[in-house]
Amino acid sequence: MILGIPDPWVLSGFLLTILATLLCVIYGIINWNKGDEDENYLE
Amino acid sequence: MDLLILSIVFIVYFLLVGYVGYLAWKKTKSSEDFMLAGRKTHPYIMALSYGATFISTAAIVGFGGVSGQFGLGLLWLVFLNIFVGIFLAFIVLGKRTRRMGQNLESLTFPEFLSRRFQSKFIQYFSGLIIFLGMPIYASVVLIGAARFMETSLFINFHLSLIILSLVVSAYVIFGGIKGVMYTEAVQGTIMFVGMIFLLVFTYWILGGIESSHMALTNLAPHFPASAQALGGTGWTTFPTLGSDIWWYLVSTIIVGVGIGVLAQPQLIVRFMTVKSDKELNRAVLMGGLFIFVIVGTSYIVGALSNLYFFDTLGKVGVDVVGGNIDKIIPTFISSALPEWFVYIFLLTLLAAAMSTLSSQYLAQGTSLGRDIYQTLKKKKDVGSVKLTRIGILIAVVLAFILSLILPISVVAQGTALFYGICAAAFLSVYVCALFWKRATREGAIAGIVSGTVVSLFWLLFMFKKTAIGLGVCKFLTGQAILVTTMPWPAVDALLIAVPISLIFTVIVSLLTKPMAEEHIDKCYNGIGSTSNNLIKTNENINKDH
Repeated sequence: MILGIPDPWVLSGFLLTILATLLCVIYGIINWNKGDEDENYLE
Repeated sequence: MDLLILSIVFIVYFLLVGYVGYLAWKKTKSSEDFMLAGRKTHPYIMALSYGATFISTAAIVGFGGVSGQFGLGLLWLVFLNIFVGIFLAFIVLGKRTRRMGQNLESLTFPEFLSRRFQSKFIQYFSGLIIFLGMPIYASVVLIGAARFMETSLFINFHLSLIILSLVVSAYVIFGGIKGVMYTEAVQGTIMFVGMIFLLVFTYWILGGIESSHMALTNLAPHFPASAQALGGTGWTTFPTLGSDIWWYLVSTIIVGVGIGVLAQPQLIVRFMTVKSDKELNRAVLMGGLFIFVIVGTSYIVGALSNLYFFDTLGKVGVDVVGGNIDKIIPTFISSALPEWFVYIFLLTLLAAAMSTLSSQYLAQGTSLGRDIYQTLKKKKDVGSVKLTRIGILIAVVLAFILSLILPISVVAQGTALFYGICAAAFLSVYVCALFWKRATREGAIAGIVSGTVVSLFWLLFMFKKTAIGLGVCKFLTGQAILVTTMPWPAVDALLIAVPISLIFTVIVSLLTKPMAEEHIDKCYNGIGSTSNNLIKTNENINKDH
């Protein structure tokens, strides 16, 4: 039993929640300074 | 708990919110400022404002209680909220929405759809859906917050309604979206700090992550018989496939709320408040963490509270609160956590309610002022802010009146009703607007109208929870719902109406003339590759016909 949760469905819900959060964090860090290259025409 | 300390905490909070609202008012000059914060919002403010709007008190206390009753299977909803509601929403939909919204100079979500499809009808019809659908959702939140002030501060329910309406309307009417977003960032920060402490503290007193889960697994023989009868099997195991609870979990919560959130106008409009994709990239990080901490905590704590209750009182959560699962989280907090945290948590709940409420008022105000009135009267930008302010005032009064007169059975369905209609009306058309250049004005109109009609029909006549709660079906036909064979009464409106709306959008679009190439190029300026390839393909298709 992993993390004290016997049911694979509930366990995957738990792990996916953490993975999805990590995905957001890692994506944010990698792209922290990207995405404003072509916005100068607004100024 | 000391009422005096709590009152001081609340007064300090109200002053802080008032001050931030004042700052926003000072910085609001144009209608673009009022509705889109001048498109220059800081990613932290955008992310927390998005999260705080998304998560109301009901999500913390209500779903936390559901998790206390049925267990951690509910975490799938947290996963979907983060992955779909934040990650996909920001990166896949948000970036395009921001760029296209800027290309089309639209200030509201209905205006965005209307300019994309060059149809005034779409603007006022969408505005109407929001303006008419949202008051009941807003009154749900308002009633929740007022009841909560009543029980925690012992302020009369009606007086609580008045105080909340006045405070929230003040900063929404004067500060516009800046007022809403700045205060939401403050409220979101309070929520974040409060919930992170709750999560860590709960795992700590119960002996850590793995051993507390294990203990919860071992508590399964005490899983309430009422939940077992509906198909529940334990707090760390999924309900029986196809049982009532299984459908409830999978259909209503996971699909309805997890995906329904993509089509919320008050959330979509936030993508247009930032300057570039960079802000959205940064906001993904903060938004993902925020939802994890707020929603994840309340669901995990809701389920784990059973352990604490069983150890101290010999009963599980549902029995401790006498079946009223909304009380599981508050009861756990007042009995298990240090007293000072009770103040923080009460503030967290109030902040969650106020942040959701303020966005609802603003969305309704812009719908009435800009999308309905201005579009029908064919007025240009003149007086947009003033009209929106009047719209907000009407929204505040409407929610207040509904809070006084609506029966509780109707109120309980308010959120599902609004989410259902919004998702059905807007989701497919919104996605087509962003990704399918061949979508036409007629297709979009067909999609929005069919989605609205089908979802209304399903919510009023087919879906058991809402149909019985609202009582329209009973009134018209004498039966509580039209079809009683499973699974139909348990299937969420969204599962039926969104595909139908998509089919209408696609088929009608293919049957009608593509939109002008010039217009499509303008919409998609700066998005992906140029539209030439697709339009050329479409020309070939038309020639073939």
